[in-house]
Parts: sequence; structure tokens; C-alpha cells
Amino acid sequence: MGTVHAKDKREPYPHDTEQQQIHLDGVKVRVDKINVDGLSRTKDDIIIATVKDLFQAKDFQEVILCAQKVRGKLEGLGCFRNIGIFIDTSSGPGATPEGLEVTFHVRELKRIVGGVNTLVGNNEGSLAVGMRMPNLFGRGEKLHTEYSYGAKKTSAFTVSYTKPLRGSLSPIITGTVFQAGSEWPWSGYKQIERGLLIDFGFNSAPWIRHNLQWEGAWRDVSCLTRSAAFQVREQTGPSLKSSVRHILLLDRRDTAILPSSGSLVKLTQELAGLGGDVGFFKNDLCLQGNWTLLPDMVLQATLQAGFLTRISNNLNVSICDQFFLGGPMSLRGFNTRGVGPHKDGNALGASAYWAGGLHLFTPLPFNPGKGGFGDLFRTHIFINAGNLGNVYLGQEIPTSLKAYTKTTRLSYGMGVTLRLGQMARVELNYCIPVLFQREDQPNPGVQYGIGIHFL
Amino acid sequence: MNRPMEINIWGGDWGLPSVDIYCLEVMAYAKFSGVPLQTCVTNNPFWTPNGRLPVFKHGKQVLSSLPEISAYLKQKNFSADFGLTQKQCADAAAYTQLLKEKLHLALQYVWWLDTKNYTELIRPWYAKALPFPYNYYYPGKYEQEAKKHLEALYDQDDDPLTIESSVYGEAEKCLTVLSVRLGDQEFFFGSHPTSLDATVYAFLAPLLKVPFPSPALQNYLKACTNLVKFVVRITQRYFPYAIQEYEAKKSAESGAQGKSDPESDFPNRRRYQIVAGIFATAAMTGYALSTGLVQMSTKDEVSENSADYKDLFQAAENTED
Amino acid sequence: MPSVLLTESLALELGDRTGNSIPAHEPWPQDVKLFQPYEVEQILLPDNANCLAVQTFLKMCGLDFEVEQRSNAEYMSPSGRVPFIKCGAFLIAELDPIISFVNNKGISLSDKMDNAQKADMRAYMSLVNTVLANAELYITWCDKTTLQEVTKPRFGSVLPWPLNHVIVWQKRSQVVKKLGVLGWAHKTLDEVYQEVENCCNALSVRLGNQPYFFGDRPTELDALVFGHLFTILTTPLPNNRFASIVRGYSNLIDLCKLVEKEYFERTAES
Repeated sequence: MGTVHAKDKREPYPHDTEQQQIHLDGVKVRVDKINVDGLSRTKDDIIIATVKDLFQAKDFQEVILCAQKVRGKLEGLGCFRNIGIFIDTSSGPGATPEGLEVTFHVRELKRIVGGVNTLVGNNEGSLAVGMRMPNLFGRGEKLHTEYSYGAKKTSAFTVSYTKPLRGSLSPIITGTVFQAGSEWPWSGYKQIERGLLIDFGFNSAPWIRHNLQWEGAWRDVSCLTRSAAFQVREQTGPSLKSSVRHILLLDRRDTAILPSSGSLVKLTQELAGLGGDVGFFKNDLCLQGNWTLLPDMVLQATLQAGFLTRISNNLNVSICDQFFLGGPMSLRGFNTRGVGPHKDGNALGASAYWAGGLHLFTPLPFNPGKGGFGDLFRTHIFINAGNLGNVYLGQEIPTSLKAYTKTTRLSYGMGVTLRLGQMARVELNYCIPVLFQREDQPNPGVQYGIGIHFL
Repeated sequence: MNRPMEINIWGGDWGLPSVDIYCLEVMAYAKFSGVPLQTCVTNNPFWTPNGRLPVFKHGKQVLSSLPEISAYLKQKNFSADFGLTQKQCADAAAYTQLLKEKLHLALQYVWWLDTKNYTELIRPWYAKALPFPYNYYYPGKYEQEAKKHLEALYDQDDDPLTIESSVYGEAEKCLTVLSVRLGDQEFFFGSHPTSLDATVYAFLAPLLKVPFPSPALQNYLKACTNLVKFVVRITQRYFPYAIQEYEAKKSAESGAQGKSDPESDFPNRRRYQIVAGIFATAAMTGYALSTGLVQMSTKDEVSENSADYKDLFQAAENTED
Repeated sequence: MPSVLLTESLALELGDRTGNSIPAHEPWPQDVKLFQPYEVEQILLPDNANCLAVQTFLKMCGLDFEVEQRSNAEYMSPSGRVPFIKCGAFLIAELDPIISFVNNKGISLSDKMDNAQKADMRAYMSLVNTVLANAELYITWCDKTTLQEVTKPRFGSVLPWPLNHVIVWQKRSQVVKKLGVLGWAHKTLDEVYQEVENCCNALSVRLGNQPYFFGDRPTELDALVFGHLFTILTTPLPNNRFASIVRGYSNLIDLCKLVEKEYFERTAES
């Protein structure tokens, strides 16, 4: 049982108990004691570190706010299922006249939490078994495993171990071992990826999150059908990527799916080639801004851009490292991966891309089901633009950039979007591609998309 | 020769002395070499040295494959190949490999992997022939072996139709080659049967005689008339009893067809009833025991470890976050 | 019910392993490429034998082609085995389908032979394909010394650490599985050598005193036998008993020398 006593520094402060109207910020108090009830596995040191801030509270309002904050932090540890707060005047030895005693009633999570799900996707049904062991060693460590077995004999698993470290930057270390299979019929290949990912995440400022990662991945690329393009076939076989990555994330949006205000900046830089036979330097930037113009009317502007460059002639870049563009979740009005170099109907990808989108979201016409089910829906009109092509560094830059600017793709349209929980969104759009190139696969008409990340 | 030579085999049916390729091969070879061999239908590969029939026994010698057996018989001065020249021996070796490479997999396919043949004919036949409880084990095991065989040779293809047409295509080529080579001769090397004739007979006779529900490859063989005559010739000359037995069985069946026998509708009915009863009882007892045990002793463990409904929901919620 | 295709089907069905339909009687294009692993540092005995057999066959037919060496040739191949040729839009892997493909263009080495000879040729090709090819696989992947000293370093030479170990292991289990179902995995090395001996003996007897197996003109069988025997003779292995068995048959050695002289030295000079 973690009981913490405040240091004995009494500051007798006269306050008027006769006052009828109580200003909470006027009630000067001192937190004498904090109890945390219901601990069994969780170690005292992390609890102390978490609740310590509460001792700084000088008046009653601060105590309440601070207690809420501490509660949020305790929840953030991922060790407890529900947390209750009780505030009482302190009693017993060492109690001060204006002293308070704050008690957190917590219930620890079970040692093992598991679940079984069936999933349908990618033309294949699969069974997923998941297991979490929260708070493994009493300091918020977490072991998470997930295994799924598909009808086509594909198996995927992830085992990840997360350990939060102490410190003001809320650093977290995660190690993940994974195997995943994916099929890309638009490019004519399938891929099995097995690897190891070590992630170190920390905040450099309250809203700025950094992730430093090392990833070692063994990728097995093989042709999906016999009719796959020869350019795809040439890239089949095993390859080993060893890369370091830095992700910078600044997310001030009010919610991840269909936000109404705030902006997002995400910058990913990846350097592959520290061992392995794959080498490149890859930059990817995503910017998003949301503005509420009128009540319920949101303007969203998104810009994405990426650039990949080889670092050595001895190291390869596989088709699975390239950028692709097009599809209901990216450049609408085109088939998935339908923009850029194609051969025999297979998208080959390219080393640079940019894509931008301007969306105007409004509620459904006449607002049916307002305040309930109807709030999950939005209508939107949009205009998307982008380009995908190979840009070479060196002397060819001017020519390749010129060609690049000439071949911008553009599409516009409108549609309905539905929010699925806090996770995903579904879109049904009518799209009209305006500018496209001969090798592209434009897809005018109705397009349907479901996913997490949308342009 | 004080003790008789003996061979344990799979039984025959449909006018075949045995339904198994390797049993037929050894039996035909023994006949061709003039070895007095006692056949013993065991229909049970469980007690054999390497889990397969045939098993050849002579005194303390226990052998199970034709190369071993023919080498042993050669020591005893029995051989079907004494009259062959070196070149003919070489040809025999080449054609034997041709059969193994092209036709063996196709036969496995027809036998175990063609779903219609397997479920309607082969599995019921083996289930009936094998003694209890092996009849629950071996048909499935053989199917798995055939599947493994196919997967190992066609590891890149995943379209079953492509695989099937490729397997049958190879087999048809092989049948054509055999038919050309045999020509108008009585046997492959003239008027006397040899080890090659034994092997060809063993591969072709079941394919020809077994009434497969899905007869694609069989029809191809039937079109090669000289091969059909070859099989019929050997069966009539060396295994007349198999045909007689089959004829007798058929006429008995057609006589008995008028009165429908409930037992024949559902063979081994009583046995299945008993097995089902035992299984149900065991399952129920097991269930009762397991739930009882859980409640009694390891209560704490269970409440910590088992994922109850709340936990499941919580897991689902947490993954959504 | 099919009609009896006794003579026709000796012309062999086409492309059934590639899934492509073959256009009838288009001329042999100029830019045919044969893909195979790197000869000097990567290729293994069984693959090398197959690649050489296909090369020999194409040269015997007088067809132009260019050899392209790729480290991932095996993965690029539509059948997962090398070599394969790219002829226009068609990819055809392995000797038998390539023979069929070439025959379909009206080019054949065996068109002057009668049906019985063609049947014999098929049978002997099966003999080589089952015995020599499996023996090569056995030596390469199941013999511990060869596996450690030759196979692992060569097969892994194009892969980065630690993938070279993983993929060798993966490939080995695949080969062992195949040899297992064909009844070769449980053989001892001596039994394998005995099989090779028997096979060479049969080939030698069949060849007799002729320059080629079926007279004065080379056939597909000669290409296949040359591919295997020449590779066996020239590949250095920790245990060279394999090569010494072949050396015991002087007429087979003569065949190898003849084919090498006719089809490989001549092109090297020109």
C-alpha cells in the first residue's frame, strides 16, 4: 500500500471558516497524505513518482485539478482499469489543521487479458488470437502478442514488449518481433516480412513526439500471378533491410478521425543500409490543417510529399520500398496505386511523390439524426492533386523536375464519409479525374474506401 | 527350399489380385520368375517393418521392395530378366524410371487427391478392408502422404487446376510412350515377361480396372488399346483366380440385389454405434471432470488467468484506443 | 474420351507449366535471354547441370540466346527452378517445357527419329532426370561435408548476413522434403553412388560406340546427358567420387568431349 507523507513544513495560514460562499481557489489547504488503495503488483516507486505532484497543490481547486491530472497519469501507466478519487480532511498523527488526505482507489488489470477475433479483408478470412500482459513486472511494462492465421495459409504475428522509462520526457522503449504477409495485386507481388523493431519514443516539447527506431526486416517478395510484369519479377526474392528511422509527430488536432480544428505535422526519415542489402534514404512529410469556417463546416487541407534516394550502387531498392499513389484513400479518382509508372498493368512505384487535398466537410443535408447517429456522417466536397515519378539527384534535377511539374494529376468530387469509432473512416465518393497521364489508371465514378489514414 | 516364401499383401478387388501397386509389382514379378509364393491377404500395414505392404518373408528374411526382393530371388536363382541383353536391361532401367517419374504421382493423384475418387471409392474401400481401428488412421495418412508428395514437386503452383492438368498431362505422355514402345509385341521385350512388364502391369492394372467415379486418366489408358490388351493378357495368364473371384462376387451381388440388406447399406453399423457411444460418454465425462476440477482447486489461478467476458471486452476496447 | 494420340502427343503439350498459351509457329525472336544464377560464385551443381543442358539444347538447335546471370534467378523463375528463358512475353522454365516451346516453333532435334526411338529417348531422359538430378541434389544438400564446404558458401554468397544462413536452411529443408517423397532422403551416400553407377552403366550401354545416342545427330537426350555429366566432371567437390564414377565410362566421356568441341569451343572461337 503506497502511503506517502508530506514533508513536515507547516505554513499556518489563517482563513475564514465563516465565509458563506466558498471560493475553492481561496481555500488554502495542504495535502498531508496520499493513499493509493488496491495495489498489489504495481511497484511503489512508479506510483510515488506519479502522484508526487499532488503535494505541490496549495489550494482546494488546485488539489482537485491536480488529482484529476494524476488520475490521468495513473491511467496512462496502463496498469489499472478504473480509478476513483476520494478527498478527505486528514486525521491521525501528523495531521495539520488544513491538511487533506487524498485516496486513489485503483483496480489493477488482470495479469493476462486475451481475445479471439475473426477478421475479413484482402479477400481472405483470418482468425486472430491476441493476448496482453499489462503491468508485467509492476512498472507499467506490457507484453502484447497477436497471432492471426488466414484461410490462405498466411500467418502473421507480432510480439511487442513496452517499457515506460521514468523521466520528464515520458520516454518509452518498445521492442517488437513481427511477421506479416501482404498482397499487392495492383503491383503484382506479394510480400512476407519478418523482422525486429526497436523503438524509443520521447517528447521534446509537450506536443512534439519523437520516435527513434531501428528496424531489421527480412522481406520475401514473390510474384502474385504468372502474368506479373517482368519488371516486378526482376525484384523478387529475399532481401534484408536494416534501417534507422526518425519520426517527428506534432498532432494538435482535436480528434484523429474527422477533426474540426488543429493541425498535424509528421515527418519521417529513414536511412537503410546499415547492414543488409537494401540501401536508401527516404523522407516522408505529411501536413494537415483543419479550420472550422462556420459551425459544423470544416475545411481541411492536407499535403503529403516523399522522396527516396539510393545511397549506393551496391545496395538495392526493392519495389516494396517505393512510393505509390492513387486510390480511394490517397489520390481519389484513380485506382489503388493507379498513378505513375505501370508495366503490364502493374504499378512499379517511383522515388518521389507529392499529393495535396482540399476538403470541405459539412453535416448531412437537413441534419438527420443530429446529436446521435447522424453525427457520425459528414458530406464532403474535395479536390485532390498529386504526382508520382522518378526524380534523380545530380545534374538531371532540372529536367526531371520540369517533367515532374508538367504531369500533375488532378481530380475532384464529392461524397459521404462515416466515422467508425475513433479508429477508422469509410468514404463513398463520386470522383472525376481531370488531369491524368497515359500510363495512369483513372477510375471515374463511384469509389469506396475504408481505412485509417486518408489524404 | 525347406520353408515356403510368403508375401503379405493388400487384398484384391475388381478383378485385380491386389489393389496396391507395389504388391502387384512383386506378385507379378514372382509369377514371371516362376517363384512359388504364398500370398497372404493381411490388409494391415501396421505390423510391417516400415509401415507398408507388401512384406516378403522367407525364413528370417523380411524384405519389402522389389529391388531388394529381386536381388534376393536372384541369389536363389529366380529371375525374370535372365534372357535380357545388356542393352535391354538398360532400357528396362530407363522405362522403370519413366514410370516412377511420370506415372507414380498421377496414380497417387487419381487414388488419393481426386476428391470424388477418394471420398466415393478409395476411402470406403480402405475403411472396409482395414481392421478396426486402423481404418480410421491409414486412409487419412495415405491422403496426407500423397498431398505432401504433390506439394513437394509443385511447390510454386497454387492453382489446383493447373497442377491437375500438369500431372495428368505428364502421365498421358508417359502412357503414350509406353504404348509406342510396346507396339504389337506381347511383352516389352518379346514373348517373355520381365521385371519391366511386372512394373508396367502394376502401374497400369489398377488404373484400368478400378471403377473410378472420375475417370479422366483411365479413359486415356483405355484408348491405348495395346496397353489394355497387355494388362488383360497378364491378368488372364497369371492371375486367373482374381477374375474368377470377381465374377463370382459380381453374380452373387446381382443375385442378392433384390432383397436390400440393411447391413450392406451401412457396413459395420454395430461397430460405429458402439464407437459413437464410447466417444460420447468419454466426451461428457471429460467435460464434467474438467469443469468440476476448475471449480474445486485452481480457483485463484483461473480468476487471474482466464479471460472472462469482461476481459474480452476490455481487450477489444483497448485495441480500439 | 480422347482419341489415341500416339504420334501427336509425342510432340508434347506446351507451356503447361508456364500457364502461357504459346503462339503457333512464330519465328524465333532475336532478344531471347536465358536467366541463370551467377556461374562463378553462386550456382550449385544441380542448377548448373540444368542450365548447361538447356544451353546445350538451344545451341544444338542453332538458336540464338543471351545468358543473363541474376542472383535471384531462382525466385524470378515462374516454376521456382532455373534456368528459364524469356522469349518475347513468354517465360519458360526448365528443359522439358523449353523443348516443347521450341518444337512448337517447328524446330526439333528428334524429328528424323521414329516413334520407338522417341519413346526410348523419353525413357532415358527420365532416367537422367530422376537418378542423376536427384543424386546431385542429394550430394549438394544432404551430404554434410559438401553442404558445409560448398553449398552454404556458394548459395549464401549473394545474400547478406544473417539471411545467408536462414535461406540456406530454408532451401535445404525444401530439398530434403522433395527427396523424401521421392524416396531419396533416407538413402546412404553409398546407395546414391550405386544408383549413379547403375544409371551411368545404362547410359553407357545404350550409347555403345555411336557418337550420339541416336546415331550421328545430337538429340535432346544428348543435351541433357551432356549438361549433367559435364557439370559433374567439372565441378570441384570435397568428395570427387561422383566424377570418378562418370570417368569410368569412356564412351560417355567421349560424348562430353564431342559436344563440348562441337557446340562450345566453336562458338568461343567465332
